[in-house]
Amino acid sequence: MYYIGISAYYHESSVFLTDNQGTNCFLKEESFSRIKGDKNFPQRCLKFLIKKFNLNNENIYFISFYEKPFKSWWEIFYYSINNPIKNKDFLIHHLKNFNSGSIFFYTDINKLINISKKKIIYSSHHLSHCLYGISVVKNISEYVHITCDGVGEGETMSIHTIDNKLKIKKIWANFYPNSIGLFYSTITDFLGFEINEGEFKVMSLSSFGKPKYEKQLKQIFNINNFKINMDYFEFQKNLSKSFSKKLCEMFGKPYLNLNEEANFKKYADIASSAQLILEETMENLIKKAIQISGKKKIVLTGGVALNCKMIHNLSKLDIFDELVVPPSPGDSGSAIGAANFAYLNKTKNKTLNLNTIFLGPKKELINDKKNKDNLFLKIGLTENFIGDAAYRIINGEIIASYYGLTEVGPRSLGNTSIFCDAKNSSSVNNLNISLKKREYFQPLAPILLEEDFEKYFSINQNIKKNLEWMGTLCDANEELYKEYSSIIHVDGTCRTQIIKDENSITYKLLKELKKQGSEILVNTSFNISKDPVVFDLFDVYVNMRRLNIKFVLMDDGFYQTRDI
Amino acid sequence: MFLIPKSNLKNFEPERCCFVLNEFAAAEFSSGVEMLFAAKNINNQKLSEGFIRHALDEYKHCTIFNNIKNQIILEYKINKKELSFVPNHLYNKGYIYKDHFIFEKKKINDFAIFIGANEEIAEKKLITFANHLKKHKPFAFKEVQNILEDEERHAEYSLKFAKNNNGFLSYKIKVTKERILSFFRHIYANSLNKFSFIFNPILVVILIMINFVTYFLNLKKDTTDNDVMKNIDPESIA
Repeated sequence: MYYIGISAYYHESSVFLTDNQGTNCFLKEESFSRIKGDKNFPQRCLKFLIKKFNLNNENIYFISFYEKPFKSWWEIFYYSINNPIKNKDFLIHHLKNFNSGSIFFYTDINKLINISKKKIIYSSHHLSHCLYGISVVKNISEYVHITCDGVGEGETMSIHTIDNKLKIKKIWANFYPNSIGLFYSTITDFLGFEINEGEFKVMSLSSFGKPKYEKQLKQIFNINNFKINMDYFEFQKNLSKSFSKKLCEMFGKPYLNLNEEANFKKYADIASSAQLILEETMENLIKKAIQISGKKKIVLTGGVALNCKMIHNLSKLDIFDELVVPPSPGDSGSAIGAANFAYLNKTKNKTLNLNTIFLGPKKELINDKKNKDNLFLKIGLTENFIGDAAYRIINGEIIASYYGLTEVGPRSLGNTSIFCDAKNSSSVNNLNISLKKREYFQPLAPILLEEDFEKYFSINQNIKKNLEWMGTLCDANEELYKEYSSIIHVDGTCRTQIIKDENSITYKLLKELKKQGSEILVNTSFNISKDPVVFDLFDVYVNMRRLNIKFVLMDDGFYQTRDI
Repeated sequence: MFLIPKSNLKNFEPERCCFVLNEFAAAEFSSGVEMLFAAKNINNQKLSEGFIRHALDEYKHCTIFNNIKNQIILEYKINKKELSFVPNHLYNKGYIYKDHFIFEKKKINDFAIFIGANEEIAEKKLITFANHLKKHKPFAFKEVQNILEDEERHAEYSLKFAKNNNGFLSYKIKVTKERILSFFRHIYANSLNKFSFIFNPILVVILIMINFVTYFLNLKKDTTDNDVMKNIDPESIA
């Protein structure tokens, strides 16, 4: 019997299926539609699951949606309806979206699978975040659960505790429009990046600037009482931009070209100031959570938790014993939280037991073997195909990986990645700028064995767990500057991932690499800018051709693309 | 490109040109996505390989259009955020259907006719656009010429396949029908925004009425909840 969690309609849509007995399948709609950030009802994911797991009314316990659809729609509408004329563009759009949004979730589901209405249940937005968060820690009652995002069902921040009997208490909440997430998104918009996509660029950019606009931004967002000054925002009324004229009066023209030095410096300073406001706000929120709950271990979820620079800087304040951010803290990961809600509803006193962060499908479930033979040619220099891959990497080759279970979350953690030798600065630059077309101010992420971590990096122990899924930054040690300087960000940090699982191919590859003279790989997601990460073998082939990558490491060998 | 861009250029004007380039990039990208889907789902290796090649061309064209656009943006110091290429906007722009790919709704022969007929229309549109570039942006003109050659080849292959798999009369009828349908689809897509002039005033009146009702509502927000699981109604959407 399966539990299915679904997150959709607002951010990237995702579905999570589990029987809590070892069968897990996390899917994103973008993997099938090939449209990055696809937020439509995940009908393609569901069709895949229906086919592969033979789903029907009898073998599904619950299908759980990650939030209350009407509440979510209404809370935003209710705020803007205060001034229907001024906010008419936004409200009309919102009205028109009424019947194409999540309110008709049951109808959308029933177009695909005939399922009893009683099996469709609805969690609550921040509760789903919280229930996903508990799946990555043990002894959940020792933690206080903080959620912070743009907005979900009118809430923008919330604090929950969970006792040993799984009684969940909400002990504090903050409401729309007072949102640090929307504040940061608005700055993202002002700087010319796409909301829900460009926030990590603002984070990278912030390292190049100084927080010169701290005072001004503190007038806009109060870091102590978490209130926003709406004079500077228009997200409640404007569909195309979320900041007001007043913000432009403060900072000048928006959307300037970052390639011009003066613009870059100014925008880096704005980004740095916004980052500081975010970090100080979160510091106060964490202090509040500790004070109310009496617990000093924290699980942080919500889109804001994706800001790994913030996690790193918060760890240095020594205000908590441990801070854990799950691999997919945003809305996409809430599909897992929704499935957990379904499980908890059924069992009343148990939650899902997920022992891995790799919850996606196996490659064999996705692909037909004949496609592999049609598209790729196995190349065996020796029987040790992982050693062959390491050899190519050491010799400057950029290779792709496609093996094991698919990752959950926005970061590729080795199984669908592109690797190059971090020692080889020309390969690193080629990968970052030419192949991936990333902004030049965005650094790439290193990946290495856990045993080598302390030689090259330092991190406060209270956030170390997050290194397993690139959830935080860490500091570069002197040793790293000697041979691997090209992967160090301008502020001396790296978004490092450590590998612990000795059975994984990534672990074996790093071991081989070490034998051949290098200990660190650069790891970036296997996709092209504006495209989702590869899902099936066709995507692998097309992306390799587009990126001009010749070799790919798979579960059973080292391959190159065939000419077709 | 067999999905037809929704706008074109009457005179060369840099900002407008960038908007059109953005539309061309969107159409190319969407065609790439459609072809990739077809490659995955056709049960014929040769056709699948053909679709992959076609998809690779479409993605390449998308990159070329975006590069030309970016050069013009730099040269003329245009700062419009609407000019950034965002794949997720393809749904709202109507280049991709939310609930299906074209390949899912058509038989392979009809799909080939759809591609062939629309590639020809898109090609004509691109020729008009290229002529503007010829005078003002010769560097871009050369690249667009290469794209035109690809488009011509795509149309030729598709129509040849359709010709071979349909009787002469059936082929002619289907191609003509597809051309007419494309014409009307284009008119419909371009007039969508015009409907808002009729409906928006009605919606504003509705909004004012809702505002009047909500004025009397005093909805409380709970900052605490002593037992979330007990107090939540799993079947409720509110």
